[in-house]
Amino acid sequence: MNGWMGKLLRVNLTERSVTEEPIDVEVWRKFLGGRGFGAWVLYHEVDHTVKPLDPENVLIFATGPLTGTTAATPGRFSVTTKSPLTGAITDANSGGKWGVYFKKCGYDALIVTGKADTPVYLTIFDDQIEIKDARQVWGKDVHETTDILEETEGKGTSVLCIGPAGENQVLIAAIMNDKDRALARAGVGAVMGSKNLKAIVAKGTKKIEIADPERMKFVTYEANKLVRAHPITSKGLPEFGTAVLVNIMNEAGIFPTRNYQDSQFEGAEKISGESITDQILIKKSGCWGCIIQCARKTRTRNEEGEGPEYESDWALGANCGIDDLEAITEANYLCNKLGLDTISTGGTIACAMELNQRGIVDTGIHFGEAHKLKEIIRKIAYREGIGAELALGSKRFAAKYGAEQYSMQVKGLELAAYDPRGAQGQGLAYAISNRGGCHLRGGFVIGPEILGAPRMIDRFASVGKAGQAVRHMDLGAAIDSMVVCRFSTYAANEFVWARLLEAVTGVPYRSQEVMLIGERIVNLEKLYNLREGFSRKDDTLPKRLLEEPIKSGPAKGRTVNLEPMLDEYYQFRGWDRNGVPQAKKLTELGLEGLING
Amino acid sequence: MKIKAKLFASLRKKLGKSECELDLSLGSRVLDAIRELNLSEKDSYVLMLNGIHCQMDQELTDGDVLSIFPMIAGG
Repeated sequence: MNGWMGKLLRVNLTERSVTEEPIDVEVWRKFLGGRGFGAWVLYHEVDHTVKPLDPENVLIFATGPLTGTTAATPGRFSVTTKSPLTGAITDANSGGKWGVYFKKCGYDALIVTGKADTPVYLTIFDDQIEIKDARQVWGKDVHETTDILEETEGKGTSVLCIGPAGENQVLIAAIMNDKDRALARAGVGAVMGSKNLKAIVAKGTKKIEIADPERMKFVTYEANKLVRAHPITSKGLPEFGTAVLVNIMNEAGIFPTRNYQDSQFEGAEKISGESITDQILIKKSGCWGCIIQCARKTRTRNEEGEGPEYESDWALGANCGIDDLEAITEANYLCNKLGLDTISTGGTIACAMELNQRGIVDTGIHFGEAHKLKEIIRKIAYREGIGAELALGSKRFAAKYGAEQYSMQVKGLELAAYDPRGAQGQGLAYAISNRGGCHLRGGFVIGPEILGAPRMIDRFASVGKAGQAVRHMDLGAAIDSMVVCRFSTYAANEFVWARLLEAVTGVPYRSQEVMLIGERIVNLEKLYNLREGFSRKDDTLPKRLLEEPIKSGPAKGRTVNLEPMLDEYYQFRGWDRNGVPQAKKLTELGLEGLING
Repeated sequence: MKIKAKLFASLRKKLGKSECELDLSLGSRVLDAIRELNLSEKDSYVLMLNGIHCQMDQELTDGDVLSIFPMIAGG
């Protein structure tokens, strides 16, 4: 096969069995791989009777036809599962090198099910697959585990693992790979922990066949030229990293501060991408094969590590009222080592701070207390003291005290770093995201609303935002399935990706089909969530964003005008007014026969 | 009239400062501020006047704060 390796691996940890099977070519053509393939498997293999931490839940690690090729930003892969944090479908996406190393073993995907009776790790060296005793690394942090397994299994391998947070089934635990890259969101690390699976070590030597190597050379040259020429991918991201967004969001008055109580942070400059570059940056870095290089190798007075990225910088910084860049950076390092999602960790701590501020419960931490950040993070990972409650995420924590309105989440997933009251389309995007309060799965409408990418639109208008969200969602779902990096889409549109897909796979993809694949994936994920009992009432936002106007700044007085946008969105999608995809739409997408169809 | 210009990301290195005051004649527009700063008017920017996005032809008034960003992204 070309682009795809043609095989997938199934590992049943209960039975300790490993099987190999050919991929269903039609399914992979229709869903590409990555997130799309994950949604297909989860829909068919994990129904509403399976609880997320049951052995019957699956972890679907999947690459795509562009993973490991010369396409711009080819170092990515994804994991899909039923989230223990939200109960919804979730996929998480990461870079680094693990996805490429795994694919070069000759497989497109790895489906893990069951639960080992004792902690184990997997090794995948081409077609030599073993389930091994993980006692020597159980309890170790992500960096220690990676070092030990690289030593044990040989240099040149790539290690994906959970930290103590995943082992302890903390509902905001991440899966980490190559030490500091994260499959972060919605508690995927807890699912891996529930299976007693500590790590997956991969190294492959197989060649990824390309259908038309000459054409691939040409299209790669074209795509890379676009990436190298675009000011965002050639300058903004490599020079300042993703945290370059701090100042622009703050200037626009949509930089959530102190658990979204304020929308401008007085300490923004101190934690900005510019300050990171001036004060702690050692060098830029990037994922396998990437020409953008947006990651940051940094150093504080005490430690060296990676980050912070924009979302982490905000979540552990402004959202907690903290302007101490070194404290934020070290908190980020610690989250990486313990295997925690930085966005949900910051969001949950901010919620704990607000409940303390309001005298609802003494959580022992106040806004701005940078010196307590690392300790509370550690407590979350080990479920100690207040950490045991925060380990369940902000929604469950706040609900315990009858204060759910102070949990800034959608469907249980903590929100990201944009206050949608000053960017209406992003409000819609948060509400409709299939994995909950995510800034990407419902569309990164901040692009056109704030960054002028691809073109500027009125951020305060609510009319017309459904179309913006849909376009970003559908292209994003296809990108997450190829699997390449979202950042490359600033420079290269669906026409470029269709040409790359065609050159790699030999399948005559066209730009419209790329968008249709994205739409198919979003619809399938929606069907999954409907079967789990989600409905229109879950496509909503925290009360604060709907009812409390922004207090000051350029977006003063604004709330999110959600309902008309939601109606427009469902209509745009060809769904009924309850958000249920209709038979005609499902037939159009080749999803006929699935529920409600 | 006087306005404050705030500069971000690569523009700081380019101009060697993060903000400055500009003394412009009445009726000046954003484009005039860009020229006054010796920035290329052909480059793409994200421009905000007092935190609200604006275009090059927007008229300035005394005391305005003009934030100038190169094209950036993240997330």
